[in-house]
Amino acid sequence: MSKAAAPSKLRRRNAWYGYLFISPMMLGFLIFLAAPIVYAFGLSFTDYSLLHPSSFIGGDNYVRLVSGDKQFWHTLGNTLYFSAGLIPLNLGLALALALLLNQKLPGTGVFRTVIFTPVVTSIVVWAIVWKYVFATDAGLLNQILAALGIEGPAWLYDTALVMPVVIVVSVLKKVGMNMVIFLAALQDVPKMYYEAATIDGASRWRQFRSITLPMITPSLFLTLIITLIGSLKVFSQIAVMTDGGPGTSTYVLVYYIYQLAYKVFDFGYASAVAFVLFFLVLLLTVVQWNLRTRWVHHEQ
Amino acid sequence: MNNRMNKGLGIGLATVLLTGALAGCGSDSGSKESGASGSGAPAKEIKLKFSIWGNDTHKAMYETMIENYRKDHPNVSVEIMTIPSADYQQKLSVLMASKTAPDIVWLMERSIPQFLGAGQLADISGIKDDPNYKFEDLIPSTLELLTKDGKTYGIPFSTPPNMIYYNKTLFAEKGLKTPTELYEEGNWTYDEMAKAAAALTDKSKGVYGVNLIRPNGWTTSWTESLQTLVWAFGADYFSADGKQFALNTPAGIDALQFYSDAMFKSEIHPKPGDQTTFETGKIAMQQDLFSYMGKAKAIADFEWDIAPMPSGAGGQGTTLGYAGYAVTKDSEHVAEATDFVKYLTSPENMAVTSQFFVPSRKSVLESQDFLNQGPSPESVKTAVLDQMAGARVRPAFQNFQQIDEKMKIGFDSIYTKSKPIEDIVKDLEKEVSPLLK
Amino acid sequence: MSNKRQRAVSAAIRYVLLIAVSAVILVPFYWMITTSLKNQTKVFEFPMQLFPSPVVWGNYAEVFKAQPDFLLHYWNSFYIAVVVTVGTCLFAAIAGFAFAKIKFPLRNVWFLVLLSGMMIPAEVTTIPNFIWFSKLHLADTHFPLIVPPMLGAGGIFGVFLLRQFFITVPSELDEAAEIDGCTPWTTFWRIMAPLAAPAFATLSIFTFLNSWEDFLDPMIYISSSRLFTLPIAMKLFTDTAGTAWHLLMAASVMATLPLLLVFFFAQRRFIDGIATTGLK
Repeated sequence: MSKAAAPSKLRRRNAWYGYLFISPMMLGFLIFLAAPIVYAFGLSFTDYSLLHPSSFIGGDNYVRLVSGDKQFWHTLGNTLYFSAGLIPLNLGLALALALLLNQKLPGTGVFRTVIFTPVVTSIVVWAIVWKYVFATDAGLLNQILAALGIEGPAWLYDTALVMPVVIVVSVLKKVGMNMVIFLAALQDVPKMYYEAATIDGASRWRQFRSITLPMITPSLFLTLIITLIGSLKVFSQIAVMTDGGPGTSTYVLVYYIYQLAYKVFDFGYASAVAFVLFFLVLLLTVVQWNLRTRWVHHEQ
Repeated sequence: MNNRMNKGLGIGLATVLLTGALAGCGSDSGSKESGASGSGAPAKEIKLKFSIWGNDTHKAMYETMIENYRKDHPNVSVEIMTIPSADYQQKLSVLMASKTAPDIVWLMERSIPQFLGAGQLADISGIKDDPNYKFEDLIPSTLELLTKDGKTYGIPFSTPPNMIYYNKTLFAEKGLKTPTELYEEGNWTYDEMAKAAAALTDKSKGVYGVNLIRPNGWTTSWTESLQTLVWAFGADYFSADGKQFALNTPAGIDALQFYSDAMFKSEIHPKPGDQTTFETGKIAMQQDLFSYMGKAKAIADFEWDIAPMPSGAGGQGTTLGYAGYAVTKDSEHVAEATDFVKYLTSPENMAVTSQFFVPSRKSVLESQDFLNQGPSPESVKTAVLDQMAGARVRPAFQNFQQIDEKMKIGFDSIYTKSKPIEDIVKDLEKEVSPLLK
Repeated sequence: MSNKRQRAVSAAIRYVLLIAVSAVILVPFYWMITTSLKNQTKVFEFPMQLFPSPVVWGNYAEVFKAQPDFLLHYWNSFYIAVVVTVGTCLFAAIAGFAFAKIKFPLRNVWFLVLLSGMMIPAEVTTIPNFIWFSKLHLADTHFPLIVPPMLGAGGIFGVFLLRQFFITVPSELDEAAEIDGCTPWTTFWRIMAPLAAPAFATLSIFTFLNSWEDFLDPMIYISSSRLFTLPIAMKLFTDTAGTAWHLLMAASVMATLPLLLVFFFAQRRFIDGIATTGLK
């Protein structure tokens, strides 16, 4: 066997296969992600609409965005409010539940299943049922309150209450996912660390702070970024439960883009708003990659 | 190497396309062969698409009609496409723009100016020429919206005035005069309605005196539910020419204040977000359209009846709901589609559709069959027939969607009590005026 | 003794907390099921019925009468999710395998280019995609619900996941296969794919769930109710005469149940898959 000729032939064949295997994904990337993002960027400099001919309007959309559109800033504020409310509640609760379930006590399997159940329930169904639970008169919650002699508020028609309600509903939907990730991380912490700490007389809190927390930081950070990016893209529960209302109290970025693009057909301006979302997500992803490589390095 | 890469890409592309073909199961390619009909040759198979926002009972009714139509037109098949009402205008706009719209469409009043203005509807004036069609039987005022420069662009099939459904049993329990009785005495006013509602409201049982919001109508309340109130108080949303915002007047503020007080002060009206419906027996008086009759007829637990809207300083302000059939201009079968519209609106078929829709044909409207659709012929005559002449169609705009969005946001401030009514109408004026120019 | 008591107290607190959270999470399921069995006029009974009386099983049959297309919507959701899942697994696996095991020019550059796609939120690409699909007359079809999720951001996540997995497979294995005369395809299909079963399981779960509960895309693309998927079909229970809550809840139960059942029976694999594969 002439070993010299075969490898080069093999290499060429293999390269051919390599391109073949990655081509569907590369094409998909090109057609459904790369080209659209370039086109969307172009659109954001036009007044493109489905209803009338369009023209190039330079940076007008961005000027409107920054200086003329109070609604946009309000929407951005709402989105950040949603994220700021969701993140600590979601991660805090997920971590607390993971710590509670990490000890082998009877029944923990059942609790784990129950808390994870909303993750496999469709978000639309989840939001529909909660909308009904929070309904003004016939809603379960206000009926319970009425039985206790309290007149419940119009949860979804109260500018102050509506966002907290949406946040709580969103936390309950996804908390099980983060809990499971934390559980797995906790189970990877070597038992002997705790044993040593107990012998040294360290308190529970001390053990949590000095052993548990540092050991699960990578998981914590990853879930933080994923949950944060997800929260910037919130749409379904808003569309089902509040329709952005009352007024504009729950207008969030994706809902606003949807309204602009598919209700009013103002595709040009909607693209400009979409680009704000793109840059926010891009920024977070870059931050994540930078810190992550540092952490991975640190771990080794 | 470059060459190889292209080959690789080519195969990849093939894979994508193949997957696409598999995935395209949902798409109905519609096989749009042009219909050169007539001229003696064996008729070509013609497929028409017909879009509605109605429910399944409507669909079933149309399917029977289509079957009958095929007896005389064996080459024509009609597919019904249902688009939910909340998205109807939006979805149709998209389909029109991409020239994939159905051949025949239901249109509601608010979307007609947009499509007519964009030249997307076909001229179907030819329909008048057939004496058997009895075009003059159609009530002329109902044709206005679909007429432009003397040409007809569609035929209305549903023109219902709004009215009050009331729970007779509750009125009897309290020994109150019913809306019908008050109307006959000439005393059926908003003041009397509020008084009756206050007497009927019973918080311990969850009973409310009056509900002006149509089912599921909190987000569309300004146009779907409150236009009548505003007119009745002698106010209006927009000036007659549609170029100015007109609600910022003492009468306009009075109207909204009355509504707000009913919810939050006297508490005779359900609170924002409430979903209680008339058929539960927890609502004594409910504003709704004729189309609610189907649901109301299923009520077994109490007696009910219908009455006209009460009057205020500006009269009754009754609104006329509005829906018509039109043919889209980009249809490849305009002639066939027009003929089908003609068939649907013939005297015989409008009698069939009148089981759901208040007909726009005088002969059908005044027929005994239609009078029997309600709780009693007398009440249908009082609450429907007698109200038609005075009822008005709600205003429509080319950019209705934008105006609608602003109005919704403004009206939500009533529900959240975040501003006094005076400020709400002032802010609305600021937001909406630029859209009307 | 005191240690024992302390432990008992801490266990009790633990259970109280867990029961409280579980109870809140079970509320919507309770409300959904009880309402689905109530008589229409009892839905707004005041005070409410904690348990339906009478129990109206007929509501479930009524769903199919009120919405004859419900089964079709169910099927649409199901087949779309299956096609997307199978397609994503296949295309992501071959690409992941190529990036991990096949040497070809600029491999890592291509991988990074592809990975950059994960930074593009699908929400930002909907507008151009929508315009193009409309022009190609693909707007009111299932195509946009199937192909972009499969070969777009979701697929790239799959490539990333499976590449990570294939890298951990010892290279002796595929080298031996190559010496035996296997082409990369046979190596992949006969040796690597079966090994990757756990990774496929995780990817499938995520992909299926995402497709099953997708709301924005069908809302944008689908006009005809015939082509509806379950999430948007839910709004058909609301018409101008109000919402049929009892039917909507019965439909919700039916839309939720199959996934819940699958989850209950496979939950160990389900949860372990999420916990162990790449996500930690």
